[in-house]
Amino acid sequence: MATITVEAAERLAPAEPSQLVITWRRFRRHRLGVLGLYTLITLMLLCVFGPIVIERVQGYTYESIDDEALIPVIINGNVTSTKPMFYTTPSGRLHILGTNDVGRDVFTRLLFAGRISLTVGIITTIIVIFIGSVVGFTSGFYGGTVDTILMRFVDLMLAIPTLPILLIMSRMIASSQVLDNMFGRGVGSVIAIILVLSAFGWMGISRLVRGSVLSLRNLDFVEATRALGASNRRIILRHLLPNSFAPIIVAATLGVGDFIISESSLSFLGLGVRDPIPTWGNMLEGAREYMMFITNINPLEEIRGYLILFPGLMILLTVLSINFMGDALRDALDPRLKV
Amino acid sequence: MTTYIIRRLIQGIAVLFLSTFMIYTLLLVSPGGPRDIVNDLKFQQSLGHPINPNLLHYYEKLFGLDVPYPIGYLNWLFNPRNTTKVTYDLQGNVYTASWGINIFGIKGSGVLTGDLGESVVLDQTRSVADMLWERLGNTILLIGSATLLAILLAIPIGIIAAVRQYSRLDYAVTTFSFIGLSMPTFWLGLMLIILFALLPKQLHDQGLAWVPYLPTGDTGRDNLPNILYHLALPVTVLAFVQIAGLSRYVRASMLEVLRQDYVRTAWAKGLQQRVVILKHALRNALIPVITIIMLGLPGLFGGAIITETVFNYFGMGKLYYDAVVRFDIPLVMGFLLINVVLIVVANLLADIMYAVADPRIRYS
Repeated sequence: MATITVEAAERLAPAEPSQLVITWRRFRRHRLGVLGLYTLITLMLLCVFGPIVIERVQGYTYESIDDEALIPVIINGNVTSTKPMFYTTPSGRLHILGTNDVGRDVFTRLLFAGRISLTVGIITTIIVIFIGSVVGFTSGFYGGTVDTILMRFVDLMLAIPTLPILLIMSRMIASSQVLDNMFGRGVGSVIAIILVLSAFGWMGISRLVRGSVLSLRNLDFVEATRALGASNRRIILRHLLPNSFAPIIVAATLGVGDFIISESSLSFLGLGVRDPIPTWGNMLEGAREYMMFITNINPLEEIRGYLILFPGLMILLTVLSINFMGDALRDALDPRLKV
Repeated sequence: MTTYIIRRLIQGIAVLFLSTFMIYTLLLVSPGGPRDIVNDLKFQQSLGHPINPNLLHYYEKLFGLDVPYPIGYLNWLFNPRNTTKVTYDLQGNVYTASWGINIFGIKGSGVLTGDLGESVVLDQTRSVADMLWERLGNTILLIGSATLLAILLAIPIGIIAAVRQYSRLDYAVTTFSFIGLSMPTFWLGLMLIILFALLPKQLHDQGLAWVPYLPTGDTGRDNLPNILYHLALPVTVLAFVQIAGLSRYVRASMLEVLRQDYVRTAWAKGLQQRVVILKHALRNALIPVITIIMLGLPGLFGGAIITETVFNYFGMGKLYYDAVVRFDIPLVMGFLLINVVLIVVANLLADIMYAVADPRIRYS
């Protein structure tokens, strides 16, 4: 009689799908979420590889100035050096969306701006999740005075109007030029905006995490772990963290979208990322001045609405995809979370 | 109930003081803030550059840097020493006038007496309270009409979507609200300007005189039709975003209520659909919605900054934006203070309204 080894028994049993597979299957059911995921991947690939390909083929980057495109043209009495869509220079360089007023290719900038906006969104979210989780776990797990102090602090932070304070903080940091001196003018402003956005963006996450920890803290399995002699650190990192993963991941996904909007709003108002680094927000700012200036007199075709249309459309597409994904993730990770 | 309200009131006042203190600290110590400016001036002075000592003194006094750090905040609240206002005219004549309050022998000035200071850049020596007051009406007009429009549209949309859950209409509403939540407001504003102001205006100017167009900015408003004409685009932008968020909440809240037992009872009694939905379900579904609207109101003052800047609308938001760009610190501080007050009051009102509207909630 043959003995069945444990390994063989495991092989005979039908394989349990892993948590990841289950989540993915549930995620796939949400059609808009899947659409969002694919759109986002496409956009990311475009933004990462687009500028590289263009540099190979056409020979310019987002900051190279095309001297040939700088020749000013006079349209109904207005002098401008911006060039229209599909402009080809005398020596054969194609600018798909034309060039801006300093002779930089708008299409390349549009793609490069995507890198910056997504990077700002993702890095800010990571920082925010970190701060929010630390505060939330400390507050929820230790309770008592620590909890009271931290949560009152969160209340105070929430009573500060976000957009106004973001504006004045970025204005001050920009004028101090501390970060500009350290990292250069463009990169300094990117780092400044990440810092400012994360400083005023973590409160929601900390409340979320605290709530989740409070609901988990007294469950039997935590008690059991404690009875087995596990340290606080182990309980938090190995048991509470994985169990409160679902709401954190959903909040993180939606957070990326929010931060992209905040970043582009600040950049649009001229208080965020500055030249020579493009973002969708500051491209709109530049285009806006141009739109107002040129259209007072000019014929229909010279509004150059595409300068406004495309950067905004990119923001909308990106954030919409992210929000669809967040919704799908919420459904997939925990059906009870559904609003 | 009364005890609850009083306790919340005291909490609210504490939050008010502490958060303004935090804002004061943030503005003061952040790189590029007033302290940096004064230190920079002192540094230049030490290098032998000619710095007007009066200017240095003026800045120090303005930002409360002539006294130790927390005292500066207290002085901003109430300064018993600051009882005279000194003004100069172009001829160099000096005028002194008494300033602040003088009640029961208590003399002084500061935020607590209603004095928000004077603008230092935008409109020099003009009172900040005056400048904000002048623009407040415009902003309230903008925000108020947008919110009203949003409520009037979002509630029916949300109800229909909830009653016909998983219908085509429901999916359309959900998708629309996602688009609204993902919409960068400034871009929406710019697109509306192009589509409804610039393009039609050019058609109009090129001979198609019948084409109506909307204004891009906010100039020359006198009578009601003209005001509405200028409000159309900015209100559309603000309302659009609000409708998106609000209809989602109304839908979720309605769905929650429609599942309740008392709604089933109402159906079972054979009541008409109208009555069940509007009387039994909607009334209860609106309670959280009112709270959401209430809590969202202060945020609209922030959101109005972007919309007002895009449309060059002369409201408080545009004033704040100009103050930030030109670094008019007293004006910035004044606007932030008003915003904090709004947030605290809105929170308080939302809590109280919630308690009043829903007798199931008990506070002890």
